[in-house]
Amino acid sequence: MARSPEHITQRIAVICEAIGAWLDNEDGILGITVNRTATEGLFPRHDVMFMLDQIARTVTLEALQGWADRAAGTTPVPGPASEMPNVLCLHAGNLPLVGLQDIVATLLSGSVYYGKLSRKDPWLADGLLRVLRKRMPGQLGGWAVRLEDLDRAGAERVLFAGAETSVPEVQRRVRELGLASEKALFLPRTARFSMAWLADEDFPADNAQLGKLSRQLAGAMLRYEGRGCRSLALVVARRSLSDFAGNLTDAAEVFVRKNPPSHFRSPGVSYWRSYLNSTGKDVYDLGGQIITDDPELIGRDNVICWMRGDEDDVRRLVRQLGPKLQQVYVHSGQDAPASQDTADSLDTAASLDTVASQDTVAGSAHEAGMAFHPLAGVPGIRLAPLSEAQSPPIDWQPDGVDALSWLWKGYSP
Amino acid sequence: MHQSYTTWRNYLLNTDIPFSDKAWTVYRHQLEHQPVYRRFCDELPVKEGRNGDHRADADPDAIPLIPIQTFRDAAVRADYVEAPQAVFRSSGTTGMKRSTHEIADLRLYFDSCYRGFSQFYDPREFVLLSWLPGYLDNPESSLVAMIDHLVQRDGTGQSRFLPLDQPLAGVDLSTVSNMNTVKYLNKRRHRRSSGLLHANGEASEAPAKKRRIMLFGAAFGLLDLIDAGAPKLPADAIVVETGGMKTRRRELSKEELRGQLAEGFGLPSASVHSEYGMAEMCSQAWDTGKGSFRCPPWLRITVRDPENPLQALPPGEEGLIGIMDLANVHSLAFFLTQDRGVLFPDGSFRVLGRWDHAELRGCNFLAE
Repeated sequence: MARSPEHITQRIAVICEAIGAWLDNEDGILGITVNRTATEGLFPRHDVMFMLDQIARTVTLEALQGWADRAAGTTPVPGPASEMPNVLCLHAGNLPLVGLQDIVATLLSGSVYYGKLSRKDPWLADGLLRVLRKRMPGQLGGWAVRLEDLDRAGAERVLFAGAETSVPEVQRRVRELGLASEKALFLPRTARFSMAWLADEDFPADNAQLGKLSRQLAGAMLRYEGRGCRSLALVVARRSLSDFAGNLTDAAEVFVRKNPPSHFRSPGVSYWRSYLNSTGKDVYDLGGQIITDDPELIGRDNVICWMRGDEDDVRRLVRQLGPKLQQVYVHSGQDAPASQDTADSLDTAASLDTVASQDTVAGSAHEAGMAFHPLAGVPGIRLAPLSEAQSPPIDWQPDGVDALSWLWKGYSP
Repeated sequence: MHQSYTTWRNYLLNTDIPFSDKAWTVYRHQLEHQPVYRRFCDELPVKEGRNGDHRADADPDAIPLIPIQTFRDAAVRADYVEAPQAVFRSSGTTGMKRSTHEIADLRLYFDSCYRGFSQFYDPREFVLLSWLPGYLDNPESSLVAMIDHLVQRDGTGQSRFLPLDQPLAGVDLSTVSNMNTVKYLNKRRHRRSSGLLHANGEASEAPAKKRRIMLFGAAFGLLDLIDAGAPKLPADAIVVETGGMKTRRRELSKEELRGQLAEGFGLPSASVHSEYGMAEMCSQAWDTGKGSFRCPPWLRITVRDPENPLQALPPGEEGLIGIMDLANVHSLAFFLTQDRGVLFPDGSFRVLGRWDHAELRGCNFLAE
């Protein structure tokens, strides 16, 4: 693996120190913004605390260095004197701090960050950016919740969440406001959800192990109310849903008790539930979501599909779903790196010390184990351990694109 | 007790009765005689107003729409239908379960098609040439049945399905209205207007009206026809496309498709019309070159919120197209498609492709 140059290592140190200080509640910023986020009902407190826990675990010197080194192995690293571009990040998120990776990638690349913050997440990201600006003032251009309130950045790179087909509309809007240059490159993040593959051997005979599998599945499905692209929306398994539904609904009940969703069930879910019941399909409640064995409903909001099938079905579905699919999870038997059971006991500033002092997990710790999986190397399949579904390393690749390499591409070493 | 098929036909296709009266009547009828629909309504969390005791002038948008998948997953015939007179099945790719629409009263189906068509076109004005290569493989295609009926109703014998090997061979595009047509038309007019005989007892000589060509086909087939070197059509011809781009070519926008068809057949783009129908519907909507579809009086389109399909969206907002096809009284009259559409204040609507339900998942900048 290539070693990234010294100026990148120095940047990594600054970023890590800043994120550590933010997690340590420097100037009381994190405590205040967590409280505002929770009390305004933007995200449940347990989801915010879970995310902070993941950041503390994954944004480490080792993880960022590993990321930079891997990117340096594929893309020439711009030199310290290179004039790096302004980068516009259009954050839109259904989960707290969803744009963190884009922020870190932009700063790590040496570019100047401009951001449109998500309306659902105006406080947390703002707090983090303020702490970062104290340490890297030259790289923090500006940010706002409304596009119209942003400075005319004339960005040369734009990262945003949305379908490929939405690129022209996004281009039009940002160019109209002078936020991006005419020659700017756009990187849409197209993935919408993830799937899991469970072979026969993934269903252990041992009840304790079966319980662990159920808990991992429930966490992957229900964390962040199933909203993120890493959320599990489709399971292909050698066993039928009815065989496993009891274990799954039990695990979901425990999860929901500890992590109550912000709403019971959306009208859309009730609608599909009524339909499935009226036509005699298998359907089970999982918190605010439902799970069914009707493959026609794949991708619907808050509806999880369970298909009985084999690896050929996985390959077929990956081809069929294309860019909508983020990850294919496989059961590794490992526990999730984060303690979901304790997340709800954390309470804002008082508990932030605990969050910041969690053991760290290097970004790609599980990647090597995936290389020997029968589905490894199949085009379009991005494997990850089920236990990492909601705890990805900082350098995980939305749609298979590494943001750091993308930002470096085209700038002279 | 349900009414006879004849009574239903007369009632549903009666354009003097307001749509909402008929919609609520059909809704109550379906609750009583359509078991799947009844179970669906019973399962819905909101029960208020679901028993059908609405005022006749209440907005039919309050009627719940069941997912179109019901045609695939359940028998949709009303409980009094012993044996359907016809069965239509949707086209589908290999391995895909197809929708099945059992038609209890074929005459209601044909009447709905023909009278619906007649709301927008004068059938006596056209010679219908149909080019449906992919569909002719499917003997249970509702589209083929509908076109066949329109062809049969043209007593001149000139309307027809174009042969697959020589689609436009032998068709005199400049003068489709030959002498036989003129004689036929005159004879028919004479029969109908016997009170208009001249004093000498001869029928009035109606001018020999030339018939216009209506070339009807699936979009992909019509484009293939152009690629194969189809001749330009006479200036007064119209082309009616029925959608159906998937699996054959990349999907085109409506404007692109219209432009390519117009150019290919040498017509102004206003002469490219569209039909919106499907195996699950007994009625069709028509776009007569204005860029939006209109419905016959017994069909209504509603656009529903994808996040809450019980909620109708106001004109101008994009959502899922919902169908209220009262001619489906013996199957399922109220259902939600997977098509993306937008309604206009005048009740016309536009189809914008398939709705991607996954758009509601994950993160989306434009959705903010």
